[in-house]
Amino acid sequence: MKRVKLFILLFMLGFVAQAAVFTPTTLPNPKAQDRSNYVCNPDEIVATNEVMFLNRLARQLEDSTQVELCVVAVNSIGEMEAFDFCYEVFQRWGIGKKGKNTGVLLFLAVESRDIRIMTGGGIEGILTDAVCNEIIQKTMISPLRNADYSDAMALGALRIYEICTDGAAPEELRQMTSATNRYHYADESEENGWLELFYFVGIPCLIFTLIIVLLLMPKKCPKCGKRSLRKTNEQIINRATTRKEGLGVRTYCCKDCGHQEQKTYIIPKEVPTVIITGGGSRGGFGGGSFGGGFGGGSTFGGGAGGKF
Amino acid sequence: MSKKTIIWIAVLGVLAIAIIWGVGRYNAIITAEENVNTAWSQVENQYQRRADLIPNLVETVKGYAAHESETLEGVIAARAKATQVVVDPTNASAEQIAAFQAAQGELSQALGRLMAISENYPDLKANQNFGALQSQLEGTENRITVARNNFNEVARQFNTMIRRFPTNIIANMMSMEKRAYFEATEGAEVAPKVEF
Repeated sequence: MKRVKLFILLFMLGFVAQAAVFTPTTLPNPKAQDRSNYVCNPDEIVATNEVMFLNRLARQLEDSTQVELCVVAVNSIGEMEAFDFCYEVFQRWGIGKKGKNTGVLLFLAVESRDIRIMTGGGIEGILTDAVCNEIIQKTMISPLRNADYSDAMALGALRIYEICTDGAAPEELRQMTSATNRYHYADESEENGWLELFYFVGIPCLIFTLIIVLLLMPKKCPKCGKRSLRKTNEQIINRATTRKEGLGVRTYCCKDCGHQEQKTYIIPKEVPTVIITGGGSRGGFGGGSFGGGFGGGSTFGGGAGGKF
Repeated sequence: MSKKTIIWIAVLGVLAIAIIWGVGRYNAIITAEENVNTAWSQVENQYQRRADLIPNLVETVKGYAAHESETLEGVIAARAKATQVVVDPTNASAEQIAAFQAAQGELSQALGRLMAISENYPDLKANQNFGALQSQLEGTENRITVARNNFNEVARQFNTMIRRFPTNIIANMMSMEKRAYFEATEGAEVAPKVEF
C-alpha cells in the first residue's frame, strides 16, 4: 500500500514537473472534464473565487449571446510567441460556435508577461482590435502590473461581457453567421477516413448487390427468345469435398412458353476453413471525453495583446 | 451463368469502381482547389484591410508630424503600388506571388518607418484615434500572417494531393498544376511589436 502511494506521489510530481511549460497540445481543455468550465487555470494563477466568477460570467454570456469566452492563465509557455500559442489553442479547441465563430480567448502568461485577447472571426466586428486593446490598456494593465492576476482576468472578462451584451450587440451576435475556416491539425483524425471506408467497404457492397441483381435476373429463353427463363430447381448429385469437386443439376423453366432445360454444373472443391486474425479496423472514435468541448469556432487571428 | 456474363460483370464492376473512384477523386481535387482559392482570397482580404487603414493613419499622423512628409509619402506610394499588384488565384505562378509579396513587403517596411517616427511624438502617441489605428494595424498584420500560413498549408495539401499516386492520374486529366507558396521573408513582414 505504501508503495502504491509512493508511486502515485511520484507520478503526480512527474506530472507537475512536466506541466511547468505548456504547449498548445499539453494545455488541458477546461471543457473536457466539465461542460460548464471555461477557465483553464492549471498553475492556479487565478484564485478559486475568481474562477467561479469567470465560469458563471462565461456561462451567462454564452446563454445570452452565443459567445464562448475561454480564459487561459498559465505560468509559462516557454519560448513560444503568445500570439502563435493563442492561435493554435483557439483553433485546436474550436472556441466559439461553429458557423458563427463567436469565440473569445483571454490569455495570460505570467513568466513572459504576455496578455492577449484573441477574437473569433464572427465577433471581430464587436470586439475590434482597438476595443480589445482598450480593454487591456484601461482595465487590465494596472492590476497586471501589481501582479493581481485574478483581478485583472475578472475585470477584463467583465468588460468583454459588458461590450458583448451592450445595446444591439447581443442581437447582432445571435444572428451572426461566419464562414468557418477552422484549421485542422495533422495529428487529428484523418479527414478522409470516411471516404476511404466508402471506397473499401461501400463500393464492394455495391458491386456485390449489383452481381446478385444480375444473377437473379431472368435469362434469355433459347426457344422463344424472351427474358423469362428462371431457375426453378437446384439439385446436388455429388457433394464436393476438400479433395474432390462435386456435381449439381439446375433446372430452368421459361415462364412464357413453358420450355424447360437442365444444366449440370461443377461444384468447386471445398475450401478448408481458415480463421483470419488481425487486420482490424483502423482508428476509432476521436476524443471520447465525457464533458465535451467548445463549439468548433475559428479565428482569423484578430484581437490585441502585448507585454505588461 | 455463362463465362461470358461473368467476364462482363467483372469488367463492368471494375469499370464502376474506377468511375466511382474517379468521381470521388475529381470532387476531392475540386474541393481542395476551392480551399486554395478561398485561402488566397483571405490573404487578399487581409492585405486590403491593411490598405484601407492607411489613409486614416496617414491623416492622423499628418496632424502631429506634418514635416515628416517623406515618410508619409513613402507610405502612400507603397500603398498605391501594392494595391496595383493583383494576382489571379486560379493560375498564380511563383513569380506573381513573389511580386505580390514584394509589393506588400515594401508597404510593410514603409509602415514600419512610419510607426518608428511616431515614437518621437508623445502627443501623437497619446491620441486615442492613433492608438486605435495602431492596434488595428497590429491586429491586421497578425491576420495577414495567419492568412498566409493558412494559404501555404492549404496549397501544400493541394500540391500533395495532385501529385500522389493514384490521384495524380485524375489530376493530370484535369490538368491541375502545382500552386506556388509564400516564401518567408527576412524581417520585411514581421508584425510591429507594441509594448505597453
